[in-house]
Amino acid sequence: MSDLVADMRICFERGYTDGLPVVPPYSELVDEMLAALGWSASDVLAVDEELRLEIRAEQLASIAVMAGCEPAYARVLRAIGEMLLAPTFNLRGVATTTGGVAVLVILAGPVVGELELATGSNALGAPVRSGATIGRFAQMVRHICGRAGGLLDEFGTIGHPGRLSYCVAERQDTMWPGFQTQFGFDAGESCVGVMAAEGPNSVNNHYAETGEHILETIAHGLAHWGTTNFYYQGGGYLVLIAPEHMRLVAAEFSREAARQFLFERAVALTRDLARIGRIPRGIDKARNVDLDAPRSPVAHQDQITFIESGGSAGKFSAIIPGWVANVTHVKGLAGGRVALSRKGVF
Amino acid sequence: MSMEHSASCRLLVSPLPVPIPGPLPVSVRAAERSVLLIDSRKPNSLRILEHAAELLRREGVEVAPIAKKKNPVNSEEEARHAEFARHRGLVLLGVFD
Repeated sequence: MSDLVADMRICFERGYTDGLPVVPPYSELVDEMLAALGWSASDVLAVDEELRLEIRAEQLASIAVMAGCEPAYARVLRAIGEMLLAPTFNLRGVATTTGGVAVLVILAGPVVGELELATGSNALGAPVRSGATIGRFAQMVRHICGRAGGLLDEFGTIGHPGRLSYCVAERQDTMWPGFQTQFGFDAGESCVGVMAAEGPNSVNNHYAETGEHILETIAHGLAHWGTTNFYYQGGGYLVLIAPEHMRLVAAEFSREAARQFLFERAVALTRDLARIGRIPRGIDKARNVDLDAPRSPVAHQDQITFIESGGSAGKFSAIIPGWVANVTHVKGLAGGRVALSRKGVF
Repeated sequence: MSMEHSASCRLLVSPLPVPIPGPLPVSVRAAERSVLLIDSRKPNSLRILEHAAELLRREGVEVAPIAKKKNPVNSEEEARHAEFARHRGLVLLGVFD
């Protein structure tokens, strides 16, 4: 057996893994990654006072190496690391919830081309190193740091395959203004976002001839009875529209008009939700439940955001539900400003 | 750096969070023989805690009514923290399904 394979086995034994083989975090590789990240090994990035732990830059650099990332991805990795470790992201909750969510990494702007991220066929799950390893890095930070290095368990009831790698990049020829403009960034600015998210729900409509019918189909998917957000109205949704659907939708709707349309149409009868157990018996007043009014899975239309990605052939879109107790964080790679998505009433 | 040797005698940098040196400030000595259980409002959690409360009562332990958080994830308000801190028995966080 080669030393490399032996070292990969040692990583498994020590818990340095996400379940898949990793690149062993040799110190010279970690040093190279640290230099690219612009951190010193002992820089403290986060402190957990309750569990008496700290996360240093060397830990994130080690994870980046293990995930198979190149130092050329460092500015994206640093932004992801900083956002995941911010108290507002609630990484421990993301890691341990029964909701079984993953960290979706969202990339938009010139960085998509610079890192040759996949935006066409199979944009989610593309066999392209940059997106696959950046997405894996985010999951490994969740898995290793979010559960305090193994002191806590991850209780996701089902989970989903994005817990190994989950990354989406926006097409550079997007018909609406870029994803990042929904967070106040310029269309020409490279941005990276992180969102605690369930798996993508496919939306198929091959015979619609209008954008309105595409949006009606998406609205129906947003408001299906099992969607997690109906009671707490937290988390929000990322609606991914692929080009064939987008051509129909963009011909009839601005992004703001589409958002308003979905907000109004994506509703269910509250009495039905209560009857089947989606609204608890002891209703918390803060939830603003009106049994006689339709109920949306979001409290504000701004909790719905859009991205255009996917192959140019195929009439599909996807709905990516966010976790109820999280908001999307988006960071500009040039200025370093972080913007958060609108919170529900959670 | 937090490092270990590999099979190839190269140094591996641990990705695991690093313990902060010093004692962990934990006190589990209750002033009275009673328990306060805290959990979310989800039925799974409450069923388990109600069963735990019943077992404790059989052992002669006083169990306060279960304190239910308004939502399962967010921290409680300061006033409720103060209320929990005044409890003279053992305060236990529950299942949080």
